[in-house]
Formats: sequence, C-alpha cells, structure tokens
Amino acid sequence: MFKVKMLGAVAATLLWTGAAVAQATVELEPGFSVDKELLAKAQKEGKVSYWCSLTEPECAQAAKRFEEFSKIKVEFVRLSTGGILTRITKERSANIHSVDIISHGDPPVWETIYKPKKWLVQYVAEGVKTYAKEYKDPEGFYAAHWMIANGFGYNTSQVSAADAPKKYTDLLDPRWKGKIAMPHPKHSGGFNEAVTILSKMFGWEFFQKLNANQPLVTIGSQFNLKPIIVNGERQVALHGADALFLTEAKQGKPVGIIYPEEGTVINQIFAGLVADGPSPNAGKVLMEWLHSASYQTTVAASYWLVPHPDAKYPADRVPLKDLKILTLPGTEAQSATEAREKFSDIFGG
Amino acid sequence: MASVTLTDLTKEFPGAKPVTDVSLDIRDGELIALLGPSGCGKTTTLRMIAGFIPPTRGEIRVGDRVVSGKDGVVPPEHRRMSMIFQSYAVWPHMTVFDNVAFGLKMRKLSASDVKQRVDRMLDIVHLKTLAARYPAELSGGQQQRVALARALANEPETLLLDEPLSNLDANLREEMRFEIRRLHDEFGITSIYVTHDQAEAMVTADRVVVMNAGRIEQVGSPEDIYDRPATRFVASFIGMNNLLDCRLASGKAIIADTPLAVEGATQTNTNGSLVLAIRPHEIELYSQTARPSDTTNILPGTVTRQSFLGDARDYLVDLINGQTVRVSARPAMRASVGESVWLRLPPASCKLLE
Amino acid sequence: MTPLTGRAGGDFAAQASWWLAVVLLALLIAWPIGWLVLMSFEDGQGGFTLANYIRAASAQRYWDAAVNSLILSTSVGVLSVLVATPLAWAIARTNMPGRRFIQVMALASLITPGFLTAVAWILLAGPNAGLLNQLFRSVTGLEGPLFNILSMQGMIFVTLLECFPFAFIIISSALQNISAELEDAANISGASTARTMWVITLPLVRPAILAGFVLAFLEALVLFSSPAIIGVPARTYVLTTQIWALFQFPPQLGVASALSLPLLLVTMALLFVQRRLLGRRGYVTVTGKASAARVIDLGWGRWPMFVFCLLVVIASAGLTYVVLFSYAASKVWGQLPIGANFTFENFRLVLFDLDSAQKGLKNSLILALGAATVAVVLGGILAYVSERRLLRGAWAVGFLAMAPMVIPGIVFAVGLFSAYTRPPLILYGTLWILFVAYLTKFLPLAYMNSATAIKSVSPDLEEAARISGAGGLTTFGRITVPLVKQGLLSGWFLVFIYSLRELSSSILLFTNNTVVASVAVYDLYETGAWPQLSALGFILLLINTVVVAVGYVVLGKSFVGERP
Repeated sequence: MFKVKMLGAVAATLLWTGAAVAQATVELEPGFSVDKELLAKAQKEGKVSYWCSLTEPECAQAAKRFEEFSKIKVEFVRLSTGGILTRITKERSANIHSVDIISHGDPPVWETIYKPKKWLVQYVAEGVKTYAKEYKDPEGFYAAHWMIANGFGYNTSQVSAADAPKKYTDLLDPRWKGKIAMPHPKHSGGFNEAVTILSKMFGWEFFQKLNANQPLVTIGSQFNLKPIIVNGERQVALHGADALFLTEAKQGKPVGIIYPEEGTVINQIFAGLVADGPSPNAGKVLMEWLHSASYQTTVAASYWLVPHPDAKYPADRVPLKDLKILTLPGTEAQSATEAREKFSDIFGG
Repeated sequence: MASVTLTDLTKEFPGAKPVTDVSLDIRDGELIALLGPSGCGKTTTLRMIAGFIPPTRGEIRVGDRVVSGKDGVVPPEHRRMSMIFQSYAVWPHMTVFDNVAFGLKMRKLSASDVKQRVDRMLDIVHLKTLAARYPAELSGGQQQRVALARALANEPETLLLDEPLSNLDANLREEMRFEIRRLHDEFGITSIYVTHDQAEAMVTADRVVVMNAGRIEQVGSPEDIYDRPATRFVASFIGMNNLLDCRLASGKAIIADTPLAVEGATQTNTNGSLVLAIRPHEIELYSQTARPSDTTNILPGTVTRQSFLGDARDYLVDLINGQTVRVSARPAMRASVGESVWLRLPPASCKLLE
Repeated sequence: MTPLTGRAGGDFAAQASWWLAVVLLALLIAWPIGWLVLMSFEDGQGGFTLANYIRAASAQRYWDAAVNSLILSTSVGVLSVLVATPLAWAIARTNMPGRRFIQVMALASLITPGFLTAVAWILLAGPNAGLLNQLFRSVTGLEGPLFNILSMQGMIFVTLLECFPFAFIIISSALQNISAELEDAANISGASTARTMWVITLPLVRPAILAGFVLAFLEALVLFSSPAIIGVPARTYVLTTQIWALFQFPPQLGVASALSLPLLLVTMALLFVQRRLLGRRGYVTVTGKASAARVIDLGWGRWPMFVFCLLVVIASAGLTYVVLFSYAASKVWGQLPIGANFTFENFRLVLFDLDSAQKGLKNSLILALGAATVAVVLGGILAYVSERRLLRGAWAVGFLAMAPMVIPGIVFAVGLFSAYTRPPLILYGTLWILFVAYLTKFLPLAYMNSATAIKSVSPDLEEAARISGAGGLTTFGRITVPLVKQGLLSGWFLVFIYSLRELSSSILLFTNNTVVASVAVYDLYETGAWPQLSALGFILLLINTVVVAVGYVVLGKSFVGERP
C-alpha cells in the first residue's frame, strides 16, 4: 500500500517537473508567448492599468484582445501626452500609484522627467531586443511600440499629386500662402520634435519665411490637422500623421500623403513600466505583448509605423525600412524647449 | 395671558440707534398702541418684543418670564406670541384653512382639534365659506382677516400688530379698526399695536405710547394724549399744528405783546423758550367789524390764504409779529385774503409746552 | 422662570444646519483653492518661492495674452448686453411675433456647449472651406471670404454666442418684474413709447444689465472652448489657452496657478463692485408685485425685431444642431445628408462601438443628477443664510459661493486633484471626485438662482411662521422652500445641464471606469475624428434638449429666469 503511494508521488513529481521544463513559456496567441510563471502571477493580480495616447477604438480593441487570451483585465485610460504627464505628476505628488504602463510620445518627457524622477523601472521585453537602437532607451526604461510618420497630408481635390510640395522648402513658395496648416509645438509634442529637427536643418529663417505664408495653427496634436485638410479649409498639412491620411484615403476621402525628400519626422510613442504600479507582473505581460510582432502587426494594419522588424504592414503603406527617418532623441530636451519658445516668438502663443 | 415689561430696551446698529432706553409696562389684557412717524423706532421695538431682532441692551419680560435679557434671547417660536404684519404675510402656497391651522399643527394638536379650532376662528372672522381658497383668490380685507384668524387661533399670550391696516383702503380700514377692538375685547389678549395713524391708535388702544427718534415721548390714555400732550412733538403729531413762540409773564403767555390766559399755566419758573399749542379748529375767527364780546385772549391778524374744504374753511393768518396761525373755521365764516381779522384762543384750548 | 433657549437667529437645530452648510461650503471651495494658492508659491521641491509669479509677470506673451483676454471679455460683455437686452425686451414687453419660439431657442443656446458651437462655426465660416464662405464665393464670384471665423472678431463672435444667454436670463427676469405702472406714469407724462423705454425701463433694469455684463464678462474670461478652437488658429492667444499650454512639456503647474489666481482677484473685485452698485440702487421697484405688464405695439417694427432675434438664436443654437447633424450624417460634407450621401455610420459607431461613449453617458447622467440635487440643497440653504443674514459674516458666503465660477477649469481641476488625493479625503479613482468637482464648480449656479428667488420672498412670510411656533428649519422647509421652488428647480436644471458638458475638470479627474461623456467628445476632437465628434455631440445635445423640454413642461413659464 505504502509502496503504491510512494510510486504515485514520484510519478507525479516527475510529471510536474517535466511539464515545467517543457512549458516554461506559454503561447497566448500565435507568435506570442510569455513565461508561464509570470503569467500565473499576473493572472493572480487579475488586472492591469494602462494609460495610452492611441485613439480610443484602437486602445479598446487591443485591450479586448489581450483580455481574451490572458484573462487579465485591462483598465485603459485614453489621454493625450499632456494629460498623462499632468496626471502622473499629480498622482506621484499625492503618493498615489494607480497605473502600471504609460504610453505616449514626447521623448524629452521620458528622458528628463520620468527617468530622473525614477518613476519607471527597467524592463526589456523580448520584442524590444529586436528593435533598432533608435527606438529604445539604451538603459531599458522605455521603448517605442508604435510610431507616427509625419508628412505633407494634402487635399487631392485641391492640389494634384504633381503640384503638391515635395520638400519642406517648397512650402516657402508664395503659392502656398494661406494654404498650409500645422500644429503648435506648445500643444503638440510631436510637432515640437519636427520644429526642433527642422530648425537645426534649415535654421530659424525657415520658420520666419514660413510665417509669411500665414499657416493656420491648430490646437491639440497633429491629428487635428486631418479634418482641416479633409474639409478643404487648408490644402497642405505640414506635420500630417500619414496613417490618418492613408485611412481617410482608403475610405474615399480626397486626401493623400507625401513624404518630404529631406526625410520623414517620426514621432515615437514609447511604453514604460511604472515603478510601484499596482500590478507589476500583469504590467510585464502586457508589456511583452505591446512589444510583440503580433500586436504590432495589428497596429500597423491601421497604417501606423512600428519598430518590430517582424511586424507586417498593409500593402499600401511604405514600411519603416523604406523611409528616410528623422527622429529626435529624448536627450535633446533642452533644444526642444528652446525651439518651442523660439517658435512662439515667431508665430505667437 | 400676561403682562409685558420693557426695561431700558435699546437697539444699536453701526451708525444708528433706532431704539433708546425704552421702558414700558403693558398690563395683562391691555391693548397698547405704539404711535409715531416712520423711523421713530416703534417697529424695531415691536420686532425686539417678537424676537426677530436681538436687543443691544435691556430686558423684555412676558409675565415673569425673561424672554430677552443679558443672558440671551428666546427665539420667536417660543414666546407664545402672535403677530399680524403690514403685508398680511399670508402664505400664498397654503389655503385659508392651512394658513390658520399652521400654528396649531406646530403645537402638535390632533387633526380633529385643529379642524375644530380653525373652523371656529374662521367663523369668528366670517371666512368660513372661503376655507379652501388660496390667498391670491381673496380681497385685501379677506387676507387681513385670515391673518387675524391665524394669529388668534394660536391662543397667544401676546398679540403683536405691525401697521396691520395700512394696506387697506379707507372704508375697510375704519371697519377693521373696530373689528380688531371687538376681537380684543372678546379674547382679552395683551396686544401691542404699531401704527403711524393717530385715529387708529385712538380708536383701538387702551393706552397710547407716542414715540419719536427712538424714545418714548408720552404714555397715556387717548384722552391724555389728545388733551394733554406732554411735549411739542406729541402736540404737533396729534394735530396741534399751531405751535406759537411765547414767553411767560405773571401766569400769562405773551404773544405779539398780548398777554393770553392759558389754563393750568401757573408755573413761572421757566426761562427757556416756550410754545403755546392749539388746534386749528379750536381757534375762533372774527371779521374786523365783528370784534368778539369776550375780549380775553384775542389777537389781530391778516388773512394770507383761505381754502374751502366743504365742512370747514382753512385759513392761514399772519399775526402782527409775523407768526403764522392756521385756523379751521365754519364754512359760513368768510374772510378774503388781505382782510384783517380777530383770532380768539380759548384759554381751555391753549396748552403751554417747553 | 423658564430657561432661555437658543439665540434670536434660530433654534439650535437651525443654527447647526446653517453652520454645517457654511462649513461645507468653506471646505468645498477653500480646500482646493487653498491648494492652488499653495502651489503658486511652491518651487517644485516643497519650498516657498515667488518665482512662479515672477515668471508669469516677466513674460511678454502673458501680458499680450492678458490684453487679449481683456479685449475678448470686454467685447463679449458689452455685446452680450447689446444682444440680450433687445432680445429680452422684445420677448417680455412687445407684440413681436414668435416670442415663445425665440425664448425657447434662447434657452437652447444656453445648453449648447460652446465647444460644439465653435466646431460648427469653423465648418460654417472657415475662411476657405466654410459653407457660408463657399456659398458667398459661388454667388458673387469674389475671391475673399465673406467672414473669416478664424480671427479675433470670429472668436469674439463665437464666445458671444456662448455667453449672451447669461445676460439674457438676468435681464429678462428683471424686465418681467418691472411694474407696468412705472411705464404708464411716464407715458402719461407725455413720453412716447420709445422714450419711456429709454428713460424709465432701461434705467430700471440697469442693475440687471450690469449684472448681465459682469456674468458674460467673467464667463468669457475663463472660457477655453472658443479661444482654443478658434483663437489658436487665429493666432490670438488668451490667458486660458496659455494656461493650457503650461500643462504640456515642460509642465509648469505653479506658473499656471500663478496666472490664474489674479483672475480670481479680478472676479472678486468685479462682483464686489456689482454688489455695491446694485446695493445702492436697491431692487425695490423691481421686486415689487408685478402687475400684468403692458404689451408694447411695435407696429411694422416688430418684423425687423423678429428677424434680429431669429438671427441671434439661429446663430447660437439652431445652426449648431443642424451643422453637427449634417456633418455626422453626410458622407461628403457640403452636400445635403440625404439619399446616397446619408450615413448613419458615425452615430452607430459612437453609440455601439465606442466604449467610452456608453460608459461616459451613463456616468455623466449619474453625476449630473447627483451634483444637481446636492448643489440645489446646499446652494438653497447658503442663499437663505446669506440673504437673510442668519449668521455673522453672512455676506462672505456669497463671495465664497461665487468663487469657483471664475477659476479656469483646468487650473481648478489641479486644485481639486491636490485636495482630494490625500488624507483626509481620498476620492481619486471614484465617481465621488467628479461629483465633488461638479458640485463645487456649479454651486454658484444653484446659489445664484436660489438667492434671486429668496430675495423675492418677503421675510414677513417667514417671520409669521416663526411667531406661529415654527423653528428655523421648519420655517425654511415649510414656508421658504415651497415659495422658491421654481427658482430651486431652475437651478437644478442649470447644474444638470452644465454637469453634462463639464470637460476641463473631468479630463484630469476621470479614470477608466469613471469616464464621462464630455471627455469622450473631447477625445474625438483631439484625435481628429470630427464626424464622430459631431455625432456624439449631437446626441448630447438631444439629451440636453429632452431635459430642458421636461423642465419646461414641469416648470412652465417660470423655467430659467422667468417669473411665474
């Protein structure tokens, strides 16, 4: 009797060990696996809190999918960069820790606020290891998981592809007087990157001359340029998010996108694991997924750029590798701040 | 029922002193009128008695209860008083019945008791048929009766009336004066009646308190006030509009070098300024040709204005020393402007005041 | 001897209630504002500094913004009164046709969020693509636009559309309270109708006109919607848009507080001046029992008057509804949303696919109901305490209750965040923080409505109850409240409507489960999804309209500022 029991126990132990070795990771969806132990701990936490600046339908869709395969509830809040920044600043000053992952653009914020204030923990997801070095923090605090490529969004019923501007300096031509729209760097971190890069490339005379063409300045992010161009209020957007224009074009709207010859300004949208978050393990699981090829393929389906080399793009989208990239490192915070003020001196605000 | 005693009652606001050292004993069951022009402090006094305004100093007693003193003040709802307001203050969102029943319900009477007492009160004020109406559907007089019924239904120890009739038209006002007196006689509640109308005070009150500039000028029966005003202010307020400067010499008042006999003017100790007060209708007017046979207390004068009022003729007559006298004469007594006349001031009608 | 009980102001229960309300008010208002003041003097490490004020005062662009704010507010204040006075007069005193319709439409402009009005006007009068300008070009063949909404004038215009209803409400209720005898007296003295209006009617409502100016001025001063959506493209920056920018990188919340607190002082000063002016004139003739006002025959002039009023309400309300619906329902903007061009897709999207819209609508309704109810109870009691001078220093209650009206929403939100994320009250993450935010922000609306109503009730009515044996609380509940019911209810509806559209505080305070409808709308704006924004905006407007319609049926004529 005793022997049988003993044998059973040994067998069970053997079985358990074997399983652990064979299934150290578990595949949650095709092409995406996580450490089984991590997943178990994460599932015990049961939920993950995620602030993101992607559009709400995209956030919601991703959250739903993640919930289905991981059984971990995603509490997402869609906020702009400024919204996330103000909120986490206030939360930290009140010693509140309600968020696990934050995600937004504006590199200087990550480099000069989050990192020195130690609001993030180092965490390098499997996918991040495959990224080019421009798209991740060398210290591993944050990495891009999607990106906005900005070009000249234009109204095709007002401007033919042939007449459309091809390079930034084309915009200085008086023929574009009263026909250009752009954001304001005080309201759009993404455009602030462009302003910093362009002012270094061409000097501030570029913007002084641009001002003579009386561009329309919008509030909010560069996303807000889309309706201006779609409606035909202005013909060319200086810093148009290509994904939005490509989506509109697909739906039959009279818009197109042109990538400037000098290069395309890319706004990286980073994700970082927050220190002392309520669900650190669930945060890691979500982080793994955000940086997986399978997730990024979905993001790319909406025409966004993604850093993962294995992510698949739709056929009607220029992939990342074929674009001439202009991007601003987070360490350029100082020049970004100066650029903002300088821009305001020229354009007001 | 209870007496009400005010002792040195004073109210001060920054920059104003509407009531100063008012002391008054109101006997149990008495109806007393606070009479005076607007701003004399009568309403403030009443509102201190009601408990709406905390006095700055002084004491208010109802019976042997101190309701307001240096230890604090009892809130109005615990003073067992009722009040009738100039604006009636009939609640527009309640029916006549509910208005009258309000105080009884506050005293937690049973529904049947409330009904019985309200019905009786409405009967007394002749409003029984209107019990279900809202105030907006009533005339001013009827609203006033609702206010009366509401005040009396509560069986207060003290009834306060703040210019209760001044919003009514003349005919109704006269009727309501007697109505208030009738109800007072019927219930015998100690009542304090604020008014600026001397006739109203005379008709309704047992005693009249004349107030001016925050102080009591005189307290007395209507007759006392009328016949024996204690001060110039009282005299002029109750209709002795002729206040003639004079001096006193051997028991006589000297006006325009003419000595005039004045009843009760015996004291000769006064060196200060004196006035002789007399009502216009008590002065007799004679034409120059008809000098009166009784030559005591007559003065010559000249008519400067006359107007016909139907039941009287109103004259302004200048004396030779320049003082103007108002005379109310019989309609038959005619004298034209510029005519010289004789005035006779009967000694019994003259009153000397400091 | 019977012992003394209580004080003259009321019995113990009543005194306790009044104090409780005042303490609540002080906590509600002073707590977040205190944090704001503190923040404006903080150097980021918890130390004291004046640097925020120095930085705010030394930057030329903040002075420029202040000047623009002043131009905007003053223009809007003056124009509001110029638009609202004839509108209110025509409705209250004349035989202009369609008075009822104009009045309902004026109320509709009150409930239309300025944010949506601004979007609608860009679609209508954008210099290039605006429908009106396109029409103008195709008719006249001219190059330039008829009207460029993206300009200082355009910003003033759209802000005016949002602010004039405040002046309208105040002026029309004053006009309704003027005794016709005063006008008759002038007529009989030989004054013509026009002259009577000029020398009698207008001077009598001058206090209300002044109050209308102050309200519209203040509203324009702290407004964010039109200055952001129209002012920024017009490159006309005002204080609120500059404050907003301080929330971006590098965040300077201290400077933002330092820029907003002077606004609070300006407001205090304005309210004080207004009170002094009104106090001296007195309301006597205006609150007297109104006899039925005489209708003034405008003759042929009633038609131009009607056209004027119609244009005002169409611009402020009608067009917003039409434009938003058309934009959301058209596949191609600029053609009528009928036949092949009609689409229901955007409505379907926001109603069924957009999670935040569904959650948000539900939360917004709960919050609006709660905030409106509590605000009216608290505001009613406070107005009673203040109007009847029930406590020492009751005058301060009015100032305190009005203060939240004038702190720019985003800055106030920061104060609220600081106040309710630490002990003793940790409300963050729950609907409660939004509830407290709405309650605090819209208490002034409930307070103002209650105070106006209580002012018109003679204290005699309350004293009659006191002397009949009712305590302070019973008197308030049985006499005052029933008598001011209409005023309280219109306050309730106002708070409800404003809670539904509150954005600037919500955006900092909401969390995943507590998203509100206005945030969902703003999100759609921020991500450039204007067709969906229009669809959700239109749905919000419909909900507002239903609420107002219910209010109108329940309250009848007395709804919002009108006397029964």
